[in-house]
Amino acid sequence: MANVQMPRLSDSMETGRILHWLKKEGEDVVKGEPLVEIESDKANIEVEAYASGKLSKILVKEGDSAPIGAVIAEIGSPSVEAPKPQATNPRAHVEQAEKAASVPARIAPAAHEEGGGEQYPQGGTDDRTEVGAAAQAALKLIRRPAEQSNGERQGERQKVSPVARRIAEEQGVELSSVTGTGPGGRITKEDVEAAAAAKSGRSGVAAVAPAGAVSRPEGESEMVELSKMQATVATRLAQSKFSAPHFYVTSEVAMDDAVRLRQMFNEAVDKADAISVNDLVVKAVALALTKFPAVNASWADGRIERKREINIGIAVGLADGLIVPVLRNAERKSLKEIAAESRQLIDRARSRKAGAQDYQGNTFTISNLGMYDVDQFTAIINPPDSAILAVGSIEEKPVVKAGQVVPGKRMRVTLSVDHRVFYGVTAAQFLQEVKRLLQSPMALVL
Amino acid sequence: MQVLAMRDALNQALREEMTRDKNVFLLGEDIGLYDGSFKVTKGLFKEFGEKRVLDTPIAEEIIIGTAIGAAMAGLRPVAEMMTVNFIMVAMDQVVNAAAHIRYMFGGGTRVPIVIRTPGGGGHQLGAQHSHSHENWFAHVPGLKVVAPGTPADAKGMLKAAIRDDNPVMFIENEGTYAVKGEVPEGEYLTPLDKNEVKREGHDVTICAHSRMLIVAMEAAAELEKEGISAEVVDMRALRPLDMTPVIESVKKTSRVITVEEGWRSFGVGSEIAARVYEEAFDYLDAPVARIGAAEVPTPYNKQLEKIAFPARADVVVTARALLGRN
Amino acid sequence: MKVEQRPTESQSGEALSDRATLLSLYREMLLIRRFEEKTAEMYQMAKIGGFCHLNIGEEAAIVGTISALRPEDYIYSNYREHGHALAKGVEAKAVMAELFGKETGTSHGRGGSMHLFSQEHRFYGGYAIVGQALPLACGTAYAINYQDKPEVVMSIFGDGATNIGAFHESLNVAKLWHLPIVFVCINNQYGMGTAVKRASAVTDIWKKACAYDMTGESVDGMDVLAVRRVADQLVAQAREKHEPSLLECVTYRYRGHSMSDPDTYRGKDEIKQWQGRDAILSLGNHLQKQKLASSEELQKVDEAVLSEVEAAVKFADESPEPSLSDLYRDVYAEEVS
Repeated sequence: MANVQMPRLSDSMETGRILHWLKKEGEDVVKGEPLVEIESDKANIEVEAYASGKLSKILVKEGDSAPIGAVIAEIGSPSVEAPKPQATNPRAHVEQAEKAASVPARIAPAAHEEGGGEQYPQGGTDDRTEVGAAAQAALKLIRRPAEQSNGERQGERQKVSPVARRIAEEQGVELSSVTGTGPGGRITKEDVEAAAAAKSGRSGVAAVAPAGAVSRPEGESEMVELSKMQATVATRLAQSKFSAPHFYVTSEVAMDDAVRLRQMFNEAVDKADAISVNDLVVKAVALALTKFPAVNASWADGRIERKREINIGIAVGLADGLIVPVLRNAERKSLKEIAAESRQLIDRARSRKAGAQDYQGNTFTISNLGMYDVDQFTAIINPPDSAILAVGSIEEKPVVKAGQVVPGKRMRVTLSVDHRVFYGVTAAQFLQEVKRLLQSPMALVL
Repeated sequence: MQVLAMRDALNQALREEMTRDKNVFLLGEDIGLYDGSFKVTKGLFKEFGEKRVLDTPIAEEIIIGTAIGAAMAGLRPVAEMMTVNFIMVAMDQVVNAAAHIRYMFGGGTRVPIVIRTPGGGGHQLGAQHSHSHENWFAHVPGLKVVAPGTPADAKGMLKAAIRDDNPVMFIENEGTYAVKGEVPEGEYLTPLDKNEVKREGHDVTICAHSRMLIVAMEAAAELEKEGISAEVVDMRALRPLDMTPVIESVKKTSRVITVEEGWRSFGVGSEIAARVYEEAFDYLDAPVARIGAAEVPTPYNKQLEKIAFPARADVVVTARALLGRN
Repeated sequence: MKVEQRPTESQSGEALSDRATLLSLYREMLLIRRFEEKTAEMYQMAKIGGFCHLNIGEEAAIVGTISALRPEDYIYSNYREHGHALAKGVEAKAVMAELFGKETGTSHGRGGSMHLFSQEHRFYGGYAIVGQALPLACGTAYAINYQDKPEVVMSIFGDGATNIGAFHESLNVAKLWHLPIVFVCINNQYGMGTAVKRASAVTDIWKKACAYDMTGESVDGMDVLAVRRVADQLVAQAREKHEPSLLECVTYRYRGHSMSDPDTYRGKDEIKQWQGRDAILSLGNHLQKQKLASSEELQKVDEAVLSEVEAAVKFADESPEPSLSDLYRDVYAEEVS
């Protein structure tokens, strides 16, 4: 049995309408003879049969339309044996060629009017949604990974865009006091303009706070200008929320053993080396990520980029903003090292002494509001991560253990996930692993 | 205002100029009896006859050479290269003859010819049928090069090119012949040396010409939805290269993207970028981003070809990246 | 001005009355016919994109000339080349896969209908620029001389190509350098939409050879045996004496220039007239008249050919697309960033 499909009769044609079946159901058809008249976007065209046999079924009636490639009729009956090639008598292929030659002439009048001539095939519509090879070279340059600035900022050559330099000069802004947010820590026009605005805001007011300067008390409300950091946070998180489809998974972790372990640990070391609950969470998450590389990944223009390093971002709240210093290669560090490094990072963040490399390279972020008596909360993913873990407070509450109601320490964690990168089952299993590690905390010590 | 397809706007221009000046004649392959392989010369053979609408053999050096010689003797030929891919057979006539004759003969003569030729790809026509060469021509002193992207510009610039006393490379595009646009009624000319802002914006400047102008405009519309305001500058005048609207734009936006259908290296974008650095260096927040075709001979396979040519998605993603919004 | 006389029947007549040879010629022509019909169908189903130029009607000119070559001889063709590749021995499925743009095609999907290629069969390409391949063919012929090989180059092109500069330059050096080359002009009466008499000062194309003191021949391109006889002689002349020649095969394409051509520049009567002299039909009649084959046997040949074409389509359908990450493969002979 042979399918008769809606043919492509012009390069711009997408659907065709059946005008007239030239054979009836049940009639015999010879390959090459006119079978059906079809209306394309350009002309009415008589189309030949490409197979011989009985026209067993007409699937698209006269007057109806179908897209190119759709089966519009069937020739021959369905049979078990493989279709025999349609042999014809030697005269037939000349007749076929004759009929084929007659077909194009019909196309002519309409095509002529439409202005096709040799009818150069038209290209596809611009329906490509993913970036292609044409922009790769430009994008690679724009997204060049930041050169790590080694050494202190003073004495080293600062990266400043030409326009930023010019505006700084015009507005009398000291470049060394400006934090660059462009690639590689480059100071951009935005950075300088923000610094200039802050400067002029500050000069008339006694307030010490570098940002959030109150400028225009109006009646019942107060307009507070954003600090550069607040503006950046606002843009980035809005972008994250609106481009990544978030879903959330919550789990309640039994922290009794973890708390006990921490207590024992801190009794054994100096106060300066004490570990926090968050350090335990960082280690647990880092270890879990070694088992779930799908979670340690980013959405990258239609592909998923799995990161090789496990770098945990630790969200730090500041008076005028939010900053996320990054603890690199967390899975390889001991609890002691994690604790020490966390402390340093947070200190540097709070005192504004952090360099650009402190904030780059995160592959997963943890936000901990446990110290603020929060049951649980959902956090917004910190780009370019695909997930963030929101940690709540440890609460003493009644729990069921071996059929008995006993007091237990419970902590709720909520994972926010970019649904483009991984899905519910992976999220749940990852969270299970984090929970398992926290509930058998000796694993974190190894 | 009339609404015309690009090919019809060009057809009008030819008819009007042939009516106005008896010395204007056309020559090329299949432009007469066949009405032109893209139907740009449709009906002209019937109206003006075979002396003024000359069907040539397949002989590109003859097409260009004959045009030059006739022009030197006082006529105003409009030669058609069926596609720009075939012009390479006649590059010697285009460069060593058409572009150099006036200068090397001390100004003693002139070569008022127009060479109309469509370029571009994206139709699975393979490596030898998908080129864009306006950057080659724009490299040559003695030639004028234009690449209109709208029917209105096409008509006005073709008329102006025919009246210009220099050899003009008039770059058309296979993918835009059916594109429709508003065309002013009545007599008008469009200058051959003025580029134009086709869409205003303040976040990023996009320089594009020919079919890529349409791609850039569509990308700008899409970017608007996510709060990025793109200014699109139509680079229809390539030699001489009018940078004035580009520089004015860069001073506003501090960021530039160039888009072309030809290959990226040594392309039109390279020259635009160089001039932006020369004339607006202190206004830049980032290097100029150049988008051009992937540097491969055009593959036949449909999907490979699709990612090789610049499309709207490429411009949109590049603009986002330039503004730090990955 | 010397023009070689057409060889008489007796010189190569015997070989062309051999049943096996005749059936082989019949089969090859029928394969091209069925393949091209299927190609038209596939193009209408949008499985083939871009430009598509068919050989329907030209089978005798193609098979008659190419069958005179040895496997180690070279062919340079143009964009109307599907039949040329098949006649040279390139597998139908590799050609169809290339038309479908698949990785298994002759050019791994990068070339399409106009750029077939086979190193194994010495099918040195289809080209989209008219006349472009003639100088290339001369180069390969020059290398044959240089390396003292016994091979021959056949350069196949259309009537339109005989008016472009490269044609004249090529004929000149072929004669000057004693190249082992046969220039075959498939004169199908039209260069796209322009009839030969509107494009060429000399309409007997074979006569253009005399400008280069070269053998010029014209043959009825609808008679495969006549074509083969002449081709045998000219190929031998090239191989043994290093005397180039120009062979004009007078033939016709039943369909438009390409699948996109509305073909309004030819009358239906003209087409019918040429179809009345169909080469496959006439060879079939000849075979039956000479009692060398029955009509049933010829039908069986048709069935086998149709099977082969169907198998080619199936192969092409089931073959993989090229990987997008291979976009840059083979731009250079070695890795270049």
